[in-house]
Amino acid sequence: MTSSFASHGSKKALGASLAFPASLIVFVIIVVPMFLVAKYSLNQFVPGQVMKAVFSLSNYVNFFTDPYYRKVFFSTLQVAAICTFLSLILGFPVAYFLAKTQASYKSLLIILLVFPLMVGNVVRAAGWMVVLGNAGAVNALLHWLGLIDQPLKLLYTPFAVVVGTTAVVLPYMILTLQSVLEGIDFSVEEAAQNLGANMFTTLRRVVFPLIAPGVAAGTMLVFILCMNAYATPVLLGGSGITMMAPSIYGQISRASNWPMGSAMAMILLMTSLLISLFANWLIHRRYQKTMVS
Amino acid sequence: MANVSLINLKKQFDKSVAVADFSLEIEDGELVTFLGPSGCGKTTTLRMIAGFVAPTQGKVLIGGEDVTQVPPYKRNTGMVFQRYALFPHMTVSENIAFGLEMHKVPRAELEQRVKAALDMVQMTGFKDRYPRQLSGGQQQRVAIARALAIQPKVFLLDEPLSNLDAKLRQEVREEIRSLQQALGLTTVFVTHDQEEALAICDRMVIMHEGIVQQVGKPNDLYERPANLFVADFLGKMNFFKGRPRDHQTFMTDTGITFVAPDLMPATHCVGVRPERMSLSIQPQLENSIQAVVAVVAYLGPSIEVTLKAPGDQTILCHLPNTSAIDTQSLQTGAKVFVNYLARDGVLFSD
Repeated sequence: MTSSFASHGSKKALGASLAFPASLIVFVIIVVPMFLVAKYSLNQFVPGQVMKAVFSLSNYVNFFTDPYYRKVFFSTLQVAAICTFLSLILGFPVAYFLAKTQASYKSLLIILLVFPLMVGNVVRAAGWMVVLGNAGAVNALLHWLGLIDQPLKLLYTPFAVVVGTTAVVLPYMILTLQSVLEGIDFSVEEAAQNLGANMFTTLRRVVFPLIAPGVAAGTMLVFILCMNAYATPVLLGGSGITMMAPSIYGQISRASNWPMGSAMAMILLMTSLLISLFANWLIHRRYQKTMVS
Repeated sequence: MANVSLINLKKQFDKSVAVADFSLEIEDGELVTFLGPSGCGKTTTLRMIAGFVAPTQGKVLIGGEDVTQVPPYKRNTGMVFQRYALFPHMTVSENIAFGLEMHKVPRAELEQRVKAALDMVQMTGFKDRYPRQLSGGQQQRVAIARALAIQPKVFLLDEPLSNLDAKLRQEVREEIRSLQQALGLTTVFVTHDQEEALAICDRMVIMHEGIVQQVGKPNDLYERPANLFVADFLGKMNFFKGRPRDHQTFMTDTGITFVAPDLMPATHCVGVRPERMSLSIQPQLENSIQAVVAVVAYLGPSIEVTLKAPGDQTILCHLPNTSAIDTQSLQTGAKVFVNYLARDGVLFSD
């Protein structure tokens, strides 16, 4: 008995000591800067100087009263919501197929899925610029088909941002959904069909309730990625649409307004956090029964 | 309930043939077991009846109606899965009600039928539990109730007892059999456990590598196996390979002669069940083989004696464990005679 207690204790200590370096790094490079950002966001911007250390909520008040910032905020939410929804709709069938297939090329498919993640967002955005530009592939095709005379403006529009961002987050969504779907015993689907449920009813009554918590997790991940996207909105949105992350960069780097930039960063962070917490709470309440502990 | 006809069923996955030319008539109210080692095609055949696997060739008829092209959810079969496959997010009664809802049973009747199904498997007290709060045996009872609540035309069970421990397995097996008989259910029961298959069925089908080896009543298959595979798979058997010397005597390759009635020129093997053999100090019965006791294993109800006969022939003998048995003389190295009646020898000429 004594020895087992001792070994249990030392195991715990070992675990803690192994976690220490990573925790230290997280603390130094994430937690500390975040506190600094929080602190800066309460400072005051004085042109010519970097900032004045005061305690004021004026940056936050400015943000929510100025129609320009409000527009940036809501278009970010909107783009993130649309991209998340699209990636869910487009990703589910792929994830379902991947989870179900017994094919020998399954691992190849998963590698192909991860492949785009190895290319930087900037490079991928450049690819979309080639596709969506005035002289790009889409316009060339439409022109060749005789459907248009003048090129359609596709690049530097919210549409381009939605397309580009969805393409970025789709693999994350598929991989998350696939791992969730792999976790359910497919014989429950067969049982449902055996009892008279068609494909659609089986999905609605059996599959969805079982995967809902996992889907919620994947959706949250993707939503946060979309909210915080930087390169894609800058390169594909241009002046056509401004989102939060590029706007924060503009405040800090171009306007040198650190307090406002910090406040916006905090707003972005808090919005992501609140939405995730709320969704998590909602899902837990709705699907408490499903959670198999 | 309904009869089931399987006509020349074949299933091929890429190049491997899972089921080759399976034909069988299952009568209304009959329980047929599909028995065979894993990969023999028994589950694939069951799944073709349920509609989860589309046959490459052949037809499935339920109640005289060709359902080969009918999707599973319109076939009205009640299936019990190996791992229960209960819906984890529904209570026991919700699980049972699911099929009834799918069949658009009115609310009042639905509740009454759920209750009846729960009573049938003695799970009424557990109706509000979730599957994870139940033991394996209880989950299996719920799965049975769920499958039967929809009053299926055919009752299908895919190795339903393989996840239960030995004692419970027998208990649930007996419950399934008495339910099946009371309700007159046309039933297909897939298993790899030969004792289970023998005990529960009216008729059994033995399969090997996608091919039906033999179909018949349990005692027919056990007493008169059609080939060496069936003989060996269903219980144990001693095989003596050799050739007929004339139409009454068989000579083994190791030089022993047996009296055997109805010998045919093509007979190449005589098989004898271990429990049909006896041991003695002096030769007895029609056929006796001199042998040396190698291993004596005490099995409880019987004693299994492994003997070595000349020509390195191993003989297995099961002696009933009665008080008359002379354990003293059953020592390793003891010279004894193994005896059997000529009519207990099974002749193989395939």
